[in-house]
Amino acid sequence: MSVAAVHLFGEAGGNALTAARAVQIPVLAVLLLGGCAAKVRRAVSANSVEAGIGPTAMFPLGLRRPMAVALFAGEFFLGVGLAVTAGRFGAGLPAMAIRSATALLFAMAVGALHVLRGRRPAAGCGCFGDLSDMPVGWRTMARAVLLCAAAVAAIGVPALHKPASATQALVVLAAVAAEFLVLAALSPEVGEIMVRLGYSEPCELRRLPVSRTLAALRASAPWRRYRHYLVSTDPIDVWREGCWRYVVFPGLLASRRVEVVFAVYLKPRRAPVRAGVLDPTAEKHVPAVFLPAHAFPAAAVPPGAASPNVVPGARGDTAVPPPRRPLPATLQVFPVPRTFRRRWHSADL
Amino acid sequence: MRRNAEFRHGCDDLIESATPLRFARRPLLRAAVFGRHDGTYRGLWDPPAALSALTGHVLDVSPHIIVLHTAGGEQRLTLSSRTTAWRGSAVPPAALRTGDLVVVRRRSNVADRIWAQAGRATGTILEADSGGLPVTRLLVDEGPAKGRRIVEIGEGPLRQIQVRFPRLEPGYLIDVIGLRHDGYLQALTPATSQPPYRAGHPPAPPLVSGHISVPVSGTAVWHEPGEEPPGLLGLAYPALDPETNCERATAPIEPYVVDPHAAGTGCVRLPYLSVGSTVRVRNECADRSAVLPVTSCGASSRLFCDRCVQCGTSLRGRIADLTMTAFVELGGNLEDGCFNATLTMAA
Repeated sequence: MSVAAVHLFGEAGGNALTAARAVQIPVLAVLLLGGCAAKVRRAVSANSVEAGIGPTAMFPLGLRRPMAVALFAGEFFLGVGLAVTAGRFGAGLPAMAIRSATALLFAMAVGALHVLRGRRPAAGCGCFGDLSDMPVGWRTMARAVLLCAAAVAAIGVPALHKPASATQALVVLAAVAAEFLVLAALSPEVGEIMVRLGYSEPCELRRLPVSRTLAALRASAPWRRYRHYLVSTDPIDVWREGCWRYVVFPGLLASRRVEVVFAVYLKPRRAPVRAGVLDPTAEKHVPAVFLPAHAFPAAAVPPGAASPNVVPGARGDTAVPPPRRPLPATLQVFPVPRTFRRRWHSADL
Repeated sequence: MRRNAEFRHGCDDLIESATPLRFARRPLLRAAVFGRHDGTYRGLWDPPAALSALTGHVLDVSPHIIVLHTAGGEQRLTLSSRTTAWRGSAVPPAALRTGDLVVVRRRSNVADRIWAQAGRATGTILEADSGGLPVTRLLVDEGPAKGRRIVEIGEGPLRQIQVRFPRLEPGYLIDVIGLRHDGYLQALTPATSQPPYRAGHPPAPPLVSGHISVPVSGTAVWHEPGEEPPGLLGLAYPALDPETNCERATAPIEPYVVDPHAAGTGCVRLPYLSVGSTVRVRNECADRSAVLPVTSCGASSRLFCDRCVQCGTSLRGRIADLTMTAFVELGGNLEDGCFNATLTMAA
């Protein structure tokens, strides 16, 4: 009985160890292919093969591109090779060769990360593309060491087959889950993903089309209050400063031409709106800084002066910019008496 | 409602627009919404007068007096023994030529420093030709607004420029300061270090949550007047609102041409403003600040992610592209190319 128990326990223990070793193969394949995909995505978006990969920075300029391409190719083919030789196809020598190459790749990764940490402490490893921009720390190195050990452990594992019973399937799933949990704990990229999921841009940086602003305006209380004074519902000016967008309409208030200005907060929903009315006849002279060059008096350049910055067209032929439209006669610098009549008031929501 | 959804009122550009009055009225309109209720007048913002920087063309230089032709007429400035001049390199003031466009830093009526024919080329290299000639010629694309420029680098400056710009090949960025000639720029000094990435692919900025912390810190650089009036005090702001300003993100047809509007937000996150908005720029090195209007779109500053090392190391990214007069007014030296700057919104 005891002999039978030991035999059974030994067999179960041996099965568990083999199962644990066998589980490494799909995990490694998934990680290799995922890392390769993330790196390729970053290379495409940055239009440069060696852009984000930290370890290539240690090589001279001419070798960086070939090393980056070699890394992409190595990860891709090893990942595919691991998946393909996991079953009975390619069992034996090809499988062992691929798994040894994977172990070698991760061993080189450990060495490269160590050197990178010493030479360029601020550089990220670029293991998973954009997500791996933070400096190489002990977690990244521990993860590389763990993956190297996993690859070594996977050498010599017989061809994977479907689990024989439900309990064995559960054991395999538990092992895979445990391994991914350990890897996630060692991966700073997980934190980066959480930050990106929960990110919302501050309103000063948010891009919002003008149509959304106008829609929010027309649904607001100040619009309902001032709509009847508007001469036209086409705005004559729209501009933005930080979190507020200003929209100006021409209006008629107590038989005076006025300008009605609305300020709309840049929020996607339930944006606050504020309004104001301005009498356009009451203003000081236009500051000279806002007038173009040909509005300045005595614009004649003295003889002998270098010609204004002539912009050469393509292939070096000089192309003078087209002549400016002349300013209308009314837009001159003119003083307005300080005693002015002006009525304005501001309205809240 | 549907017809207004397509509102496009044209390029927000002080030079192009035929009604610049529109920009001058915006502070009044904003005050109409957010102003006080007691009836006091918060009127048009008065632009700063350049106190210490003067821009004009040289009419005459004598040992003690320099006569300039400026937008406000003729101006005479006294030259003292301490006056220094730059025309490619440090030269005596007598070496200035009639007709040079100069920027003068003065103290009352005495000229302190004079920069003559200062030029700068900032943009993407389209063609590089150095075959057999003692002079390396580059065709630089300065962006959709400024067009293209020929830059010539002589043998002596080439070595100094190549230290900081190792890749003088198409597709990479360049920023050099030099002497303006008719039709080309003679590059003399590098303005910054060459970014390691290709033009049009700056690194992504860090994510910002909550509100942007103002004041924003970074680098302030300068640009040539181009079509602006030479004495203009203002800045080209890198982050103009893309919905109501000129954002032409069309795919470029020629190789290596980069549209800075399509390059993303750049290295530093700046709040969106419009032409005519006012910002307070502070020169951390010279401890001077001024309130300046945004006068044009500085989208090409987004391609660069460099630091300024004039006084300590600044944060990454270009936050303001000042006009030459504004740069000198704030205490910067044109041949240095940059100063550490801080930007705040001035209502």
